[in-house]
Amino acid sequence: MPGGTKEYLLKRTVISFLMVPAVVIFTFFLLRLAPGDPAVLMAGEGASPEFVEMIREIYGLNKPLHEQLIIYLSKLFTGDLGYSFTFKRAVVDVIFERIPLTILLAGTGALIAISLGIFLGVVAAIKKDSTADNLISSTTLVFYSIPIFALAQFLVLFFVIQTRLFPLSGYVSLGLSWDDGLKYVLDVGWHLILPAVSLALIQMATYVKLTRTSMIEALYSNYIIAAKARGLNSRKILFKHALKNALLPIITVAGIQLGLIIGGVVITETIFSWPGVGRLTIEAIDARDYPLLMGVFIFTSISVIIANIVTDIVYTYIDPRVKLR
Amino acid sequence: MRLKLSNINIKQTLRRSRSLTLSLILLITILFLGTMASFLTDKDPLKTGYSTGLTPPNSDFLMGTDQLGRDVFSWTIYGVRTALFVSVTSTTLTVLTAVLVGLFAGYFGGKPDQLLMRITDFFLSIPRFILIIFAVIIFGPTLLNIILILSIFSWPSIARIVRAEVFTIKEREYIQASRVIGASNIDIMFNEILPNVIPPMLVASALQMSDAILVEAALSFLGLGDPNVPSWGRMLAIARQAIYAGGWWTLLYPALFITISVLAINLLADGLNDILNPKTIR
Repeated sequence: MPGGTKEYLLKRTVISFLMVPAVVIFTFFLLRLAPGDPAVLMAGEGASPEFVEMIREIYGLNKPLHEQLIIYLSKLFTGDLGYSFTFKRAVVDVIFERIPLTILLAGTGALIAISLGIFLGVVAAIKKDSTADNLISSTTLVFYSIPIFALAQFLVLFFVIQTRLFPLSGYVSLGLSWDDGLKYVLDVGWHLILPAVSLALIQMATYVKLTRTSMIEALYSNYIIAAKARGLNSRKILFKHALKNALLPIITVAGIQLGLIIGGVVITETIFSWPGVGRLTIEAIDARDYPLLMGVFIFTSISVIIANIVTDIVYTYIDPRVKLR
Repeated sequence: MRLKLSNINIKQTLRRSRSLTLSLILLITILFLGTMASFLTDKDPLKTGYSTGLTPPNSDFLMGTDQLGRDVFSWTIYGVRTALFVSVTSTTLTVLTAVLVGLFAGYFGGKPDQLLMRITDFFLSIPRFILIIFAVIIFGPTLLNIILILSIFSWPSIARIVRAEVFTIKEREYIQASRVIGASNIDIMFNEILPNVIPPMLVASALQMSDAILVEAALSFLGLGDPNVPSWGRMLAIARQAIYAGGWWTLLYPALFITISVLAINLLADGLNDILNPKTIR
């Protein structure tokens, strides 16, 4: 690694992690801007006066604002995100339970989008300005413009209602569990296809466009022309030299996409009743469960921050040309 | 060399950029339907009971009705107004704020610039959509709130583009020259630098507009839109039940309108990009 990179990464990481308390403090004040008594908001509608008093006591809501903030931060530091009155459990537990399913869904979606996106991008670049290229570019642009809540519903209409090829909702058929082994895994996969494809289709355009542009750039660059002049076979040039370099920007974009795709995950999980963190967000909204909503907000922010840091680090390691300030 | 928009030959540009031509045709069609809505239909988009239950498209209801007998055609074309109103006003606010902040931060540098960078870092670390949802719940789902919230949470990333642009421009020789002949900072910022920032801002504004349409529709889809205006997102939420009863029209038409609007604006951004950066790989 070039000199100074380590220091840069360290600085970036520190700044990024400083964003975590910033996010927390921000949500803290946002909630206090809401009309109404924060204790009532946090206790939930229909809570008994005793419970509201208890919440007021625990979070020190009758104390001055800065003391409240200190109490809130110190609770958070010990992993206490509060109590969800809809689930009657700790917010942390409720969120952690939902994480694996969201990772499965968002991960599969991203995997399909990236692999299919790179493939189509390479095809479009090799056959630049051909019918195939135009078709790929215009189709992906249309998918890029369809809102996911319309696209997902079209998939439901065709593949669930009309042809009954895929199940309606949830992540597994009733009565199946891990004990059923392969049958369980296949069943989850069957439930996974439609929501994952919805998520993949709306992100794909970005990867297609990026791969196409950087492949064309690479294919006309001097080192590729030199490789051709040396008589290397074109497939080897394509995959070993051009594609390798064209892939670099994909990594950065994949990292940024995580922050952007969260809205898509919320909506996809809602439409397909996929019980992940996104669906949980909507459940928290419908019940006006503020502690849960704040928990989800803080949790998703931390994920985005970590993803940004990881992207930065991975990028500097694989591209030795990167010189960071 | 400074790129002047007035120097661009419209006919030649349209012939060269197919995406721009297509975009303008789509946009004009949508705008026409939106502005002419009150002449094209005499039905109130929000009124229920025009029919009993889901009715397929027919001569009376061009796009059918929903479960509660609302006219989908009226809802969809009045929806153009809602979508455009939200996107135009929020984009104007966003871009004005972004240009002002970016201009000052980029030109003066130092502390204000540091502050801007930290603010943008902050907004880049949080999922914007969840933040918008959170704010809409707290402040209430009125059209005005949605517009303000969208603007407040969107300007930082655009301000960052402006800042970077200003950074490179302010070192150019003609800027130094105007300083030598005694131009004030404000003069230089608004008369010399600002015109150069406008072209890249046009592309950013177009993208911001399509994003605003999508966010407003997504909020309405989740039941967090303004209930007093017809929104494509809300009709798509209504469609969630209707499609099980065979009411595909409640899904198709609003989806078509929102997709065409967003597509047209994205094509506009593409076309502007082609004109402004003729050297980009196509």
